[in-house]
Amino acid sequence: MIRELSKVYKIEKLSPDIYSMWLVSPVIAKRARPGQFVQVQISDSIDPFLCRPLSIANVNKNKLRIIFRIIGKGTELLKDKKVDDSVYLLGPLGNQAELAKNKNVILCAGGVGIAPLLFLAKQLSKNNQLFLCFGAKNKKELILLDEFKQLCETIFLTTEDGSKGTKGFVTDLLLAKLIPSPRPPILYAAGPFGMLKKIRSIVTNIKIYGFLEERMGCGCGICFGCGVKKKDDGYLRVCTDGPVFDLSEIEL
Amino acid sequence: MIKIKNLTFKNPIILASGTFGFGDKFIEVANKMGGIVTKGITLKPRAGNPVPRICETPAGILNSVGLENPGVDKFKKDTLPKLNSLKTNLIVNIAGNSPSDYEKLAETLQDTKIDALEINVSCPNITDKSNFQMIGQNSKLVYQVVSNVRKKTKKFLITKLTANFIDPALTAQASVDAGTDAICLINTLYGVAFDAKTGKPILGSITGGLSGPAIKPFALYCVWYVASKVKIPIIGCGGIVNANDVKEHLLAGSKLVEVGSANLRNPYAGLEILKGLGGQI
Repeated sequence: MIRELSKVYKIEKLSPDIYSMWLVSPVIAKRARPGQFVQVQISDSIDPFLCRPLSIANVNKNKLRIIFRIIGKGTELLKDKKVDDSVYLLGPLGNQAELAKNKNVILCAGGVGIAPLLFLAKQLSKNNQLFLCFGAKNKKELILLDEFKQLCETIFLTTEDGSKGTKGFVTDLLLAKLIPSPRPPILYAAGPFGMLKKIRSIVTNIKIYGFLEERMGCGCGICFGCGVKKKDDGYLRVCTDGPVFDLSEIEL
Repeated sequence: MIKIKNLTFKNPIILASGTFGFGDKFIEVANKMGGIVTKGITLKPRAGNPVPRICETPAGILNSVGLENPGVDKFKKDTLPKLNSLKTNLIVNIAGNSPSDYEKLAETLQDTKIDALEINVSCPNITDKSNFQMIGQNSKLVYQVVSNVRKKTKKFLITKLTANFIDPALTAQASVDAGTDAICLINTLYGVAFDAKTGKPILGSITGGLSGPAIKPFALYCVWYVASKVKIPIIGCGGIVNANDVKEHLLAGSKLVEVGSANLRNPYAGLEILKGLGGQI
């Protein structure tokens, strides 16, 4: 882990409130693995005080990409950064997703949960067959589709308002289309807590890796501010034990 | 270099309890500090409070971690051996629900190589929710806790006090009378945050402790006020994120300082603050 002053290389609006940012961060980009995240120090000022934990959506040589939704003051300030502005990144943080080999892989994303799955898909597409189930509020939020088209065998889309794909939730689709598959696949899911919970309740016979989101303090295991309940008792750290968990090992 | 009684601090910066784990991470940072305080240790293991445990507030943090820790026996057996090579003062923060808890904790840790104990009578997150009382709000109880600990150990004692709904000069005096070697002021302040959209409290346990730059002026006031009333070395704590904040705490009357929330924003904050101070302290 390193704290690296990183220059904004490119910033792009993907939907009315989702942005993509490439940063020049040679050390973190080189060490990063799918599933991991960075802590972004938004400003030198004491307000906002904490960093924002954002998953690494991709790397390319000395650069890394983050994708974020504007949800508050911090992300609002982040989107206003200009090319060549600098921010401190702490990373790479967290564990890495176990990489499947020669499998049918289902990637299931809800909303901006699609971000870490892009990095994962780039790695997995070399020796697995990928199927993407992606659900969002509406058509505009179905981001990154061109990139996933190059990596996935099939893409299933849902929107809550029916503006594209099947109307409804991605979990309904998952149940209907993919679970009766002949060869037991492996599932990677990233999205809201409720989505992960639903997936676990409907998918029982296969391995599910969930990418968790949680409010964090330090992001590096020293404040005990983030936690997810273990199956038996006590808590695991989302920042250092996760953010990727085998969903059979945690309480949702 | 600062010497208080038998303990020498190579600089005035101590990393505060609950903001730097148990001392087994970022050892290269810890080694450069005047001291490091472990996360609070209790007699029995504690799972900690329900999530969310942390939320950001203007220029600050509200937390309710709830002293998640493995309990003193496991800490002694599994964690302490890893800390033997630390090149800084290792201070163990102890927390309990009664004077006898603290006594047992001190007894258990007496035969270890740790440099000091920090008696935590001021964690707002293990307050008995039925009466909102913590030990640090009652000077008689503070006296009892500190004197019980003093009887069991010769180690350097710091008493970490609260300024929540209590005159801290009273509890400071009680801890001095009971034999503390230093006091630390202040622990986090009471706080609550709500999500206006959902209408629900943000923290899983509703209330929490506020820290960070937002509380610095109040922390400075407490240090300045207690320093004028009680003769005891004070470790100032509250809102320190840079060298100037350290200087302000020293000007208010602190001999040493604890840096807390800044570590959550940047785990290397201690090093940067030290660099900012240059050779000035």
